[in-house]
Amino acid sequence: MGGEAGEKEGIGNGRKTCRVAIVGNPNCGKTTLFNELTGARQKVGNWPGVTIEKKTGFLSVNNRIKAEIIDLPGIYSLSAYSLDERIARDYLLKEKPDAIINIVDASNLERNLFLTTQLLELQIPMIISLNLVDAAGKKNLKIDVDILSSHLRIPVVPTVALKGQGIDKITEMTGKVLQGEWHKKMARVRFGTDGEKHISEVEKLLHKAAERMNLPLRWLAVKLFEGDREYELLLESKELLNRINEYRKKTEKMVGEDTETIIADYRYGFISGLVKEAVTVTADIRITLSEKIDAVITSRILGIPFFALVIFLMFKISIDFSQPGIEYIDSLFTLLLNWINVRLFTIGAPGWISYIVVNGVIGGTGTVITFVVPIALVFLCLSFLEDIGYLSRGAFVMDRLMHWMGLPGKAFIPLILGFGCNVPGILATRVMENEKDRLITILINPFISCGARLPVYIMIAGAVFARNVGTVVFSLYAAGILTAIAVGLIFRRTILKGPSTPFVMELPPYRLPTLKGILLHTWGNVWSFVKRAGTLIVAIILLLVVLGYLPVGVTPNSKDSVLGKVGLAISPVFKPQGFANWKASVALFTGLFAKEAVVGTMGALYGVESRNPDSSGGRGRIKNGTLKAKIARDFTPLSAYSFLLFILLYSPCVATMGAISKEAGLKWAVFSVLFNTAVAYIISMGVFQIGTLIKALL
Amino acid sequence: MMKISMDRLSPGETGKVVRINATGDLRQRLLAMGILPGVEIELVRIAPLGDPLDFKLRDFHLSMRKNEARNIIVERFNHHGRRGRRKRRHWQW
Ligand SMILES: Nc1nc2c(ncn2[C@@H]2O[C@H](COP(=O)(O)OP(=O)(O)O)[C@@H](O)[C@H]2O)c(=O)[nH]1
Ligand SMILES: [Mg+2]
Repeated sequence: MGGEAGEKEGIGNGRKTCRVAIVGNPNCGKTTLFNELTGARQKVGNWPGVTIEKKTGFLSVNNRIKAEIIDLPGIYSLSAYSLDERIARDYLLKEKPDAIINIVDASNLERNLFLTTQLLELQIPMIISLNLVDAAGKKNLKIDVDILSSHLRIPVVPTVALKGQGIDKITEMTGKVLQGEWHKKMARVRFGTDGEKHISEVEKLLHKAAERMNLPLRWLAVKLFEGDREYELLLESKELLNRINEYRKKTEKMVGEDTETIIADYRYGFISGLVKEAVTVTADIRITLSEKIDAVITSRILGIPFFALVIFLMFKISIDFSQPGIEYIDSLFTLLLNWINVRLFTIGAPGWISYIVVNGVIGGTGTVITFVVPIALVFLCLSFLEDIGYLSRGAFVMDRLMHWMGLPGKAFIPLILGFGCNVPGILATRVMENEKDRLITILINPFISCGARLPVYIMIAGAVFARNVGTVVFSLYAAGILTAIAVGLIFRRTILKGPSTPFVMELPPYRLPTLKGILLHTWGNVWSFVKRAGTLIVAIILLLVVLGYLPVGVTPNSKDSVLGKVGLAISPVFKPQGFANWKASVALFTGLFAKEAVVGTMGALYGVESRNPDSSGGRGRIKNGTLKAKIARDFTPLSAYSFLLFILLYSPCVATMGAISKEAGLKWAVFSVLFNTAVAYIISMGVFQIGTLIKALL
Repeated sequence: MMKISMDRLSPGETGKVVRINATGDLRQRLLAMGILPGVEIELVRIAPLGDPLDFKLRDFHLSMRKNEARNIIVERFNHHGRRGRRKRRHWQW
């Protein structure tokens, strides 16, 4: 999505386009509203902090104003506790949007308004989207919008973002606010007689500093009065700081509390007064449906079995259900291949053209399409769990285990996302507050077996282990998890020592997800995967087909081809692991570009040689079985397992390297490549050697 | 009135916050979540593995590890049980 607007359109004050930021607590519907306003496609989730990246889109407010809408990360306050909060706070204070749409969850008014009281101090024109009024209605809460609006002195618009209700009104009021119609005097919280007296003294001291730092005076004064470390460091004059601290201490003595508590207390006091006036509870509900569900799902007895069941079902659905799909697509492509082959032959196309078109282009595309099925199913499951709100329960149930690894429960989500793809998994670590926790979670993520590795397992395990494919695949996933845990523990105790961060996480109510939301979410993921990985895979397969064809005249993909020679040169290295065959080595090499490329490579090296019209024109009809048989010939079950373990653990693929480099720096990406390959080398060697020994003893 | 740290509440029991001993980031976060002196907090349940805890306050749910909850001092509410609840043994892990 475009960042800077190229538009010249202005609204009088010399700006090109107005910028409007969407601000609110996690899970209040920011992304849903953003989508409604801009029509942009974006992830819609139900896990605190899912919106990490800055998303922008355009809204035509009226015929004079065009607004760039920014979907900021969900935050509880304008402190700088997490990276999310820092991103949002810096955006609001440094880039100063022209207006704020503050989304407030009507079913959880008190806590949501805390942020609102802080936003009011920023002196940025603002409207409130009172969202989830349907959920508030279910809790028997009736909210008087006019009272809220007149007390806060800003427009308040009731919305149900999910159903698009109130969106037009939001657009209209945004326009009004941008044109300066409401800006005059927003409400502000007063911090008691003693507090106000001293804060106004602090304000007097800060006039110049606020101007220099380009911050709203009131905001800066309150923050320094609270003793905010970040602003204290920004303040240049030591003497000024000392004088402010004197006022602070004076107040603390008079009130008998620290100023941080005093300030928060007055904010919540203001909110309580407001809520008392504006909200009527029409009937008392002691326990909500969401709580009844949690009483079962997160209970002491059923919590873990349920979690295990969820994960098990996820695998059942994404692996077993995708098998028929994969086979169907596979057979369709075989038919297509044969048909094209015959066509090309009858029109008299040169041999090398048919070879490259059939094997490279069509074969490569077929490979990509084959594994769209399992990946889509994995993402479908994840989106569902995320949207319905189970992922944060997963973090709740699993936190103890994570804690034992020295990681917060929040690390659970990036790790579980890693099962889909390590790239979003690594990006999702941004919600973690502590840098070391974050780094560990990033570095162990590639050991979590991503969806792209699944087709590799299915292909090789399917060829070698006739009956127990499911068990083998399950054990590989388990091996990945165990390695991640072990490596995490080692890092925590060696190169990344440090205390773990406090764990304070909201458990948002369950929300019925919409089919549209889930499908959009899944579609976005699958599409970006196809786009990013698909083109790469086709390109790699094409490259391989060409390398396998050269030099002209050799039997394609034989040991004499360029490809064969490269594989032969590398393969001896893998003797201790039991797969010192050149085809496997070539596959490992191409697997670096994308793990799923192993499938394409193995397919090209094993299957295709007999589809080759040059060498065996008569044997046109190749069935899946032939490919499997050929792979099975080169591996024993033990060496196949060792090979699969190596594929699971060795260097992350190029896309993952990119993500690590982006989130942790190039240094750590390089580290990851070397370290993980070493781990893979040692573990598969261990398994193969021990396995051989046991076999010899039996 | 008995004052205990919040992690010592029994499931189903409610306490009234009297003091927050946390400092720094944790304190900021707790204050933002509305954990202030005077607020009532119920320990709803303990996670299956014994940690973290699921608390309810101001009509929403917040989970916290015992380690964090230890910093919050509460006054026991209706210790002898308004619904005639028998005193439950506090699980130790
Ligand atoms: N019932 C209801 N659900 C909503 C509403 N707005 C959003 N949601 C749902 O709330 C969940 C969180 O929404 P999302 O936009 O991801 O929140 P964000 O974290 O603030 O971006 C999703 O499952 C939405 O479908 C609403 O007005 N009513
Ligand atoms: Mg969002």
